[in-house]
Amino acid sequence: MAISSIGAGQTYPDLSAWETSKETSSEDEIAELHEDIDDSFIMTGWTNPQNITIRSNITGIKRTVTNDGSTNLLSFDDAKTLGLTLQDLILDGGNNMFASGVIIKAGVTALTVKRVKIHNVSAIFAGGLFITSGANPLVANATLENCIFVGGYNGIGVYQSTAMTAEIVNCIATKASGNGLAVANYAAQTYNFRNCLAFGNSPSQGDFDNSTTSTVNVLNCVSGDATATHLNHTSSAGSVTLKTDTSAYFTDYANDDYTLAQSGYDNWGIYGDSLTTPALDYASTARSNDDIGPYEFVPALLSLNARAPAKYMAAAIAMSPAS
Amino acid sequence: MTWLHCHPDDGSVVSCSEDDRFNEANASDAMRKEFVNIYTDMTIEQAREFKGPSWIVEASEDNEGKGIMDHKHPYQIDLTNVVPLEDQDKIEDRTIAIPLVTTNLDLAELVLKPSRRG
Repeated sequence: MAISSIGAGQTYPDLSAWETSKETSSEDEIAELHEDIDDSFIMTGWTNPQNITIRSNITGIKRTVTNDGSTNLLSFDDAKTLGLTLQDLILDGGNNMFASGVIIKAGVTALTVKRVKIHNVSAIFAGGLFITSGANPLVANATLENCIFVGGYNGIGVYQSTAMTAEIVNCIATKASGNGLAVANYAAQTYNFRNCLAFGNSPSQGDFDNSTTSTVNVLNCVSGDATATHLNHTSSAGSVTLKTDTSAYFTDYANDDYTLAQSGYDNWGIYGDSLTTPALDYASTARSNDDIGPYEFVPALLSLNARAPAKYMAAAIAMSPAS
Repeated sequence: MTWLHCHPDDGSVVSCSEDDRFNEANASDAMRKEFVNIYTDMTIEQAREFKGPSWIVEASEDNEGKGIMDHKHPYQIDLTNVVPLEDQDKIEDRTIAIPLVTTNLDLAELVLKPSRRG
């Protein structure tokens, strides 16, 4: 396994240079971003099958990739790519008309995306995380945790036709011009949405997509419209719908700050499933209350009083500096 | 300072960067051995216009974004024109650092590759 540093003064100035340099590599490759970069990167033409990771050099510290042109930010178009992991990144599409944040056109047998935000992506023919149609993408297993998808045609758009199991956990999809969370329609595909939020996506297409043939489980999720409990879903256990007061739920919904203004339970009357809630949230804060969505609500210490739930008190005490 | 980072095989413009600290002493071994690094007085925004990829299809109706890539790296530079004669033997040997090309690039050296799809 080889780890390369990316950024000014590092081994490679950007991912494009790293990708070209590593085309003939025969080992798993990790690119660590040491600073924010401008890049539009396409992975294709590699010689050997291998696992690829692109992440911040510091867990929990976000590195931003800003679109430097009119194309997709991170594009994967190589049938030989095995695992792909993206972690602690912000992908800013710059509102270019056709840009996706992440587009998978070929390969990638296992996809893992953790604590990634994708925003300012196109409203036309693109999305936050896009897996294109047909049999070239090979995503058999996908795990998305604590991710934020803002805008685009779909927040997540899956059009692949081959077998897939996707676990989408504690994510939010909002402000898409199509479905917030779009699924393909194939019997060999299973989508498990757990503890997810979807608001403000296309009224005609819906926050959560539905499928008559794929297995779609929407569990402990919240939608602004009625789609979290669509009748086509295989299961909608624990999910609630028609939650529309986004200005009350989040710190600043209009300006894409999706930290919780109050606990998830106070917002929506449900907790996330404790068995599937990740240990950390989007900001790498330890979760203690199984809030829905990418952020765990952390009450201010000054607001703690006897009425605060015991779970919050325990979390606050755990975060306090040692005396 | 703005730099174009070119593939030594064919001079394709792979990447560009703006980094005042990028010089013989600070550039990594990988960048000096695996790329031909050429100074330009373009702004970084101008330089990005010469970085790939290029596309044939602007949009497809099945929501796939820009569908067909024409060139991963659409622009190239004839390295025999810009790398000093005494350094040209280093281009073919990836074990040897290629000295940075610090004279300003003549924009006429940036050539768009012909489309592969006619």
